[in-house]
Amino acid sequence: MSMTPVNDPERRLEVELLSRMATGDTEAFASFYRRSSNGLYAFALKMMNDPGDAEDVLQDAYSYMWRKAFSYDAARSSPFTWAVMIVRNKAIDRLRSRQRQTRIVEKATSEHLHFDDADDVSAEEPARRERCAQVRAALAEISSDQKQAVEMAFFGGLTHEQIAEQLGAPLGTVKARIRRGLLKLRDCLKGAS
Amino acid sequence: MIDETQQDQAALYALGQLSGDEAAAFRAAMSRERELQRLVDEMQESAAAIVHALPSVQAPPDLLPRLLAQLEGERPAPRRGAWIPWAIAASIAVLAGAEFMHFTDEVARLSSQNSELQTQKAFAETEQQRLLAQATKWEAERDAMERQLSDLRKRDALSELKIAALKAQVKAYANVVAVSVWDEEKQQGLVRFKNLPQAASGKDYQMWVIDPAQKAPISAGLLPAGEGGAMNLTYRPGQKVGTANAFAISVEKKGGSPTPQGQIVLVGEF
Repeated sequence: MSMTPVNDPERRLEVELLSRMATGDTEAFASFYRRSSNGLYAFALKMMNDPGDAEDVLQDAYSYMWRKAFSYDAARSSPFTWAVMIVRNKAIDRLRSRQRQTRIVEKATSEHLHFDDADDVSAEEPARRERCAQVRAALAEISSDQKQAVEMAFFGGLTHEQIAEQLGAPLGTVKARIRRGLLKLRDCLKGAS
Repeated sequence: MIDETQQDQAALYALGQLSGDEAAAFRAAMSRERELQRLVDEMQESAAAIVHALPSVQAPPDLLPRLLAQLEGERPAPRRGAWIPWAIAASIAVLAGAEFMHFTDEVARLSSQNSELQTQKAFAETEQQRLLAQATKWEAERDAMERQLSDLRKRDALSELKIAALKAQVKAYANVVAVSVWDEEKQQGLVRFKNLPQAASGKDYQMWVIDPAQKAPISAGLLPAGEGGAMNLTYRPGQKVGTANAFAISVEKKGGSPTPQGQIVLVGEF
């Protein structure tokens, strides 16, 4: 689903599911949940660093998706990106409300993405495996300092000021790293799709 | 052409890093430049793609049933014929015996799929007919409005007026038909809406005139409380507008805001 063309069959199916969700179709909701929940749970877990919190975030996020499915705009993003951004917003709200960001900051600055497949429950799905390989290949093209800045902003929900402080780098440098990292990632993913 | 500063802002906006004022100003800039909006969308798509690189983890197995129970309570949805696959599966299971369990499971699954597809098909056909009828009606209204606009533009008396057909920025406003006319000399405008949804409780629609010489959009006032559907309204911005090049409507907190804080839902270029 990364940078997938609008007419990609997987994407079209998910757009249709969201469209049916907007009409109150719970079967469509269940289908969308089954397709996306493992990836989104992994994401919530990465952000919250706690299974209970990650589950709460996922529950809030899917409830929100159900209520707001009508607001999804297929011309602007893929359904997966829309869902990821909702999970991320819910996670950031929870992190900020519980003021547990210090732990996340420490975690985000001390480690990068783990690419360990040992616990990957969908390693058998060819489509997901292919997408995963594409994104990992794209991430490998980005310099480590750019990747670190993007990850701290994306997974940690940190502001660029907080990132600059954590890394001891000038604010302008952090902004440039985030910008260059995202642009490089976009170009690599476009090339791969 | 998007310069590096704008790219920086786009990246920060895509990751939710801009403060309230900065984000509002950037949203106004995006409403003027489609290219900027596209860049933000692409950056969000790229950031979200990183999630694919994480090892997938099984979501808690009891979460879906809990969510479904919760959602049914929130907004009941009709599920026509949902009992049929289960009745078929149960009957076959009794008749066939334990050794055919995997076979009956398959039959039940296919029956369930078939039933679901039939329901979806019937629903889709009805929905398609409804939407086609609606689209035809709206197209006719839009054509009539465009003809009116064309006539107005031809008239010498109105040649100094600027006219903008507003376009929806979010799906919920896709059916709104709206036109704004701006008279630079008189520093006032007229806006005409059709199908505008009622503003949510605690919210107001606020009008904005965008002048590229100004740092932020200029407020042109609130739509009258409780208004929705169809209306004609004269507006007069709170400060002098040099060159108006766009008109926008946003959803703001009750009473409005000095600069746009909420979502911009309709925009049109003069």
